[in-house]
Amino acid sequence: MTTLALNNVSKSYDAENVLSDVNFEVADGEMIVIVGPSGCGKSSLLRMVAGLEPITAGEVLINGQVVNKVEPKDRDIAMVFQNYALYPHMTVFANMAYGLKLRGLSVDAIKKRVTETALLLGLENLLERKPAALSGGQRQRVAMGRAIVRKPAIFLFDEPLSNLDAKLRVRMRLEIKALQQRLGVTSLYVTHDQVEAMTLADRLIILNDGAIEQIDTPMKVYQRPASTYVAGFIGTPPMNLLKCRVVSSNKNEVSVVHHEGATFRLPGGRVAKASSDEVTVGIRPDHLVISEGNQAKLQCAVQAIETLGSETLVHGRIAETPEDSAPFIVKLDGNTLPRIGEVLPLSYEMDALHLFDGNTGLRLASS
Amino acid sequence: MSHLIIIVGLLVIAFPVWITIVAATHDSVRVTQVPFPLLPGDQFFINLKAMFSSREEAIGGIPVGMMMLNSLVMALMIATGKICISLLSAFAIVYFKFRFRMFFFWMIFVTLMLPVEVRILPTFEVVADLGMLNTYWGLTIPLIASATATFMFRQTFLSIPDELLEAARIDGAGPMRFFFDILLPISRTSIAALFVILFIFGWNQYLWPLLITTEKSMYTIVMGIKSLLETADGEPAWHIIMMTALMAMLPPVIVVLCMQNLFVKGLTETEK
Repeated sequence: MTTLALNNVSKSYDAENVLSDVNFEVADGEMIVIVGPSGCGKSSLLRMVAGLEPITAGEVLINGQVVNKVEPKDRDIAMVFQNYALYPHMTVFANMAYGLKLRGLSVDAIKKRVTETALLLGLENLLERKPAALSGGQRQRVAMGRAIVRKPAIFLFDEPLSNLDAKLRVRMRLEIKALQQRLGVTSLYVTHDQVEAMTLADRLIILNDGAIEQIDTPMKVYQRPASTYVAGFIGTPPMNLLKCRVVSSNKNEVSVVHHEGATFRLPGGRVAKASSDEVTVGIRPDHLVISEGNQAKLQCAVQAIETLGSETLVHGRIAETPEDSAPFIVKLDGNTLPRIGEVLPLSYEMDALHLFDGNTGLRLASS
Repeated sequence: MSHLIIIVGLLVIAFPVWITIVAATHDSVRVTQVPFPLLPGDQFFINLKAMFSSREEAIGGIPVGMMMLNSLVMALMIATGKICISLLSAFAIVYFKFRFRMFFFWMIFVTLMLPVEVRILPTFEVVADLGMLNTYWGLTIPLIASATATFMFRQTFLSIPDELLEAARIDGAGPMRFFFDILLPISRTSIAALFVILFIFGWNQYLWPLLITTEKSMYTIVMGIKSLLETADGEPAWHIIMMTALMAMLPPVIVVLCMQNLFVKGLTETEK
């Protein structure tokens, strides 16, 4: 049983606040992915859990014990770094054995553990090599091996895949996922890549500007983003977000909100919760379809097209709005190829609309 | 054209060395004749033997072997001493946070402006008061404190990614373990490069040994050559002097040749 909990953790460098009031818990065997743009404080957060960075305020608990003052080596954690941080002068074997050696294991025990781990990761033929003689993917595996071999209570991953090329990244992503599930080790994984986050996580933490925007399963985060920030961050292409003004609002009826050139109808209860008549309506590019006949709810003027084969991305803006108005993206199936300049009639399900408060950016839920 | 410049430059540098070699292979009569011979003679081994065995007044009465040994001990002590001290001080400055860290760094930096020649009198006074005249300690300690080497190691350490330290901390290595297990092996090539530079620096010391050694048994070879000139009967034995000079040039050449691979790596290697 290993759990990790953060209570009101804050971090500041001099006067600058990097993280404020971070609270979350990681259950035994759970894989939590912290995702956010660069500079949002996600790496600082991980490094505080590792003990590499002092905690300004709050508590980090491992298995219910406050570890704020505990040295990294005594926290029973292992970390995989972005640049792998392999000891360049040691062989793969020595790299993996170093931590065990310092913990005073016998030579035989070390040999057994390292060999086991090497087999698990397919490194058995590379044990005598130095890191310089390994490819990126192999180094990545050695870094994983160095973490696994110690049998730590918690794995910490600091953007471990961002130095790999795209193809390898996809493969290693799957490997990490499989490995983590097989070993069942509580893990905290930091990345800026939302695809990585979505595929790896049991639960996601979306961090923005030092504060948590949302903690939930990947599916929930996708389906019910807690704020405009999350809505824009998770999902490719990102959700279309349109600033709207409430035209009519009634708790029990359909409310109407208006954006230049487009009108949206939403369940009344949701709109009524807005703090002012400024709201943001969101709709995912995937939820728009070309409407047949005169059912169109929206007109989109096509400005550019990206052909991806399986799908076509249409970049444009809502028809009859000024040149500089918000961009609007539509995802169509690969066989549909609209012409530039064409106006597409689009429709959507009312359920597909997301509503956010215009001032706070927070989601307005129906119930 | 550029080749021409290189060749001219090479000749300018190589000619005195050639003269030394030539002079060391002739007997005393031929060396003093005009014109000076430009091709080597056949006296090389005779001169070599004379240099090592002879205790005649003509060559100052100091065994060359002894002077070579003194120089070797001095150069080795200076090189290793400087490397040890600089490694530790650079380690402290890069990896430890303590009060006045930058102050100490600048203090070390400032000593760059104070070479031995500038502080020679007070240093002599200190060494004399400590009773270190005519000792190896007196010869080496004042030359060991070194800003250049500290600087170079600082740069080397700064180029090592922080994650390596963090990985070692998580693996359970304390500061000194990190120093010995990780930092030293990684800095191997820099250490070798510095060793070469410092060995030659130590070997070529002239002014300082001249000042603090009064007993002939502590003479170093570089200053010994000078004393060979001051023979009583006026006629310096040029062939022996040149042979001695040749011997004095040898160890630095050997060190450079043996360590040139590491040396070049240490100065150019960037990947850590």
